[in-house]
Amino acid sequence: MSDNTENNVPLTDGEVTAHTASMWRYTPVPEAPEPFPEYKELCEKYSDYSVTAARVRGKKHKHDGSNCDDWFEAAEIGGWIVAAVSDGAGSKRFSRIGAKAACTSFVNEVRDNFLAAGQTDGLSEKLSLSLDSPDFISACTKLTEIMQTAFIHASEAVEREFENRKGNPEFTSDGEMKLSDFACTLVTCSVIPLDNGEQLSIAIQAGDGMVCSVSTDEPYGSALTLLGIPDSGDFSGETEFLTSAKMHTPAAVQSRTKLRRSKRSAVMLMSDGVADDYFPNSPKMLNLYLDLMMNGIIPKPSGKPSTEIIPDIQPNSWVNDKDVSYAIAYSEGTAEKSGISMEKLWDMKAYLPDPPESEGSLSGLSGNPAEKLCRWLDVYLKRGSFDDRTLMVILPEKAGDANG
Amino acid sequence: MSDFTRRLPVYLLLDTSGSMSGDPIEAVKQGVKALISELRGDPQALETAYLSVITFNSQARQVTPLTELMLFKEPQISAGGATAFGAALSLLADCIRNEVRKSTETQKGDWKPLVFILTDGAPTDDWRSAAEELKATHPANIIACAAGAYADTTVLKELTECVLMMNNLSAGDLAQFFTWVSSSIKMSSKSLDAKPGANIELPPPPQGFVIVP
Repeated sequence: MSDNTENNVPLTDGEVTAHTASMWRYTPVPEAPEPFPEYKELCEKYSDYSVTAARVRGKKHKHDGSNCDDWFEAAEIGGWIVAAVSDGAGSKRFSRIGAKAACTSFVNEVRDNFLAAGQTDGLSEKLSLSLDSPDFISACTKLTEIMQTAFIHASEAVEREFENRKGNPEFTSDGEMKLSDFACTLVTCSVIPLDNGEQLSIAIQAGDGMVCSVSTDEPYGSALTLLGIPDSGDFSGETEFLTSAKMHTPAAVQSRTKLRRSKRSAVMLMSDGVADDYFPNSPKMLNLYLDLMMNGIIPKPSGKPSTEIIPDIQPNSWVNDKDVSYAIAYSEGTAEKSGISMEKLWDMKAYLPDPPESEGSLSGLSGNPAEKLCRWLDVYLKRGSFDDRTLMVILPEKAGDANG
Repeated sequence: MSDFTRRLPVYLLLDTSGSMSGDPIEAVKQGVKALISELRGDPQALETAYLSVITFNSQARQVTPLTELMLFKEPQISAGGATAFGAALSLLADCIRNEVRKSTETQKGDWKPLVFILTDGAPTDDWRSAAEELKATHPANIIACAAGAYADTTVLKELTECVLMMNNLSAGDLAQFFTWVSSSIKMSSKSLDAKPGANIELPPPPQGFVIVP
């Protein structure tokens, strides 16, 4: 313990996390009932976008030997991307099952109905029309309705999982099972490339987490658009869930829907395990984006590293094996060390230092960005942050490219 | 202390009136010591929980302001005087107002505070308005424990649904109470994302303790 304890000087977060680092245990996922995998990764390149996603079990679940409650799913339909991230309520026993059901149901239904709609209506052309054109508006309305209906159905899918397990002794041995034991959030987004080189993003969110779009060629002050509307109360953690009764009306889902037509830009969806570490989300989602670039998870614009930028690199130990640590770069610390603002660091992103290459860095992992993302999510350190972490990054692949 | 970490504020309201003098107050001091040592072994508690102690006898006093666990020093406590329970509740409300951060556009607020009250007697001051204010504004999850034969559970019931009773003021029972408080803090820090308004989950009370209906 630090000497500071003797004279009541407040401790820094680093001092506290240095003290707790060795105290976090690693306990495997329990065998029953219905164990979920410790990790989940996705790395796909499609015609217009690449999708990189990972989900890791939070430190508190590793410590206690409980399951990861996050889930994500994504699908591609002729270049269109449909994505969902869900966070099962932390204190609820089977919320992971709800989270998986919500994501799967939503993504499958939207995929099927987008497929049908896209084939019959020539929607792609209509979506490129001017914003006040009736055809554009009707095409948007159609897609939005598909998503909103699927969103309500996702909640019903969670209820079905609950009904299916009623009377199953594996689930009721600890006491009566309730629908609220399956409570989860749902953060969704469809990203649609348009014929005119733009993109349409439609997002619906219930509960906490975040979905946002990032235009890397814009300055720090205007690069970020939050597409999600998290529900929050006076105190932290007072969240709503997909399964809350008030979520089930079309009006409720409508008020949680956001549309955006813009240049091709990156879209990120995440659970609160990540979103809370970058609060306030506006503008700190951009710091997250810089962290991903600095750690070699997403490409940075090409440019020679500037000597003006002094990277903040911390050796962060891995809870699964405390003998292993990774060199993790932090954008906020980098700006501080370099004596420049985050605005300036954002402007200089082409000149960021290369990701740490030393032994025990993420660069030592395979070239698969999802694997790097997964390990980064598993080790980056923030005081009081020990929740499950899920992040999906949808990056444009073509001209008008965010990574130009 | 970070400006950005979400803390779990924990307030201990300890009765230090004359009837607590002797073995009971010594047991309370030991209990606080054991509580701190127990919580310091839990990384989650160390990263999130902040502790404050408010004592009340003829007056109420915040003997330790909301403090990081690693920096917490056991307060000097001695027993003597009356039971200014109302003053303690008013002080608690003030402390929560001043010390607990609410969510704003740019700041994640603290978790909802946990308050543990331990008393062995009946209030000797006007407590009703302070209790009503706390019950109406509900700024914290309050758990009250009535210790010994002379504790007034009806007063505590006016304040919170969650009232425990231990039949005597023995050192063993008080030690068990503090062990239970530490388990409750650990369990709360695990179920921090409970739904608004929902009851927080607490471990079952120790043997010999009765939940007052």
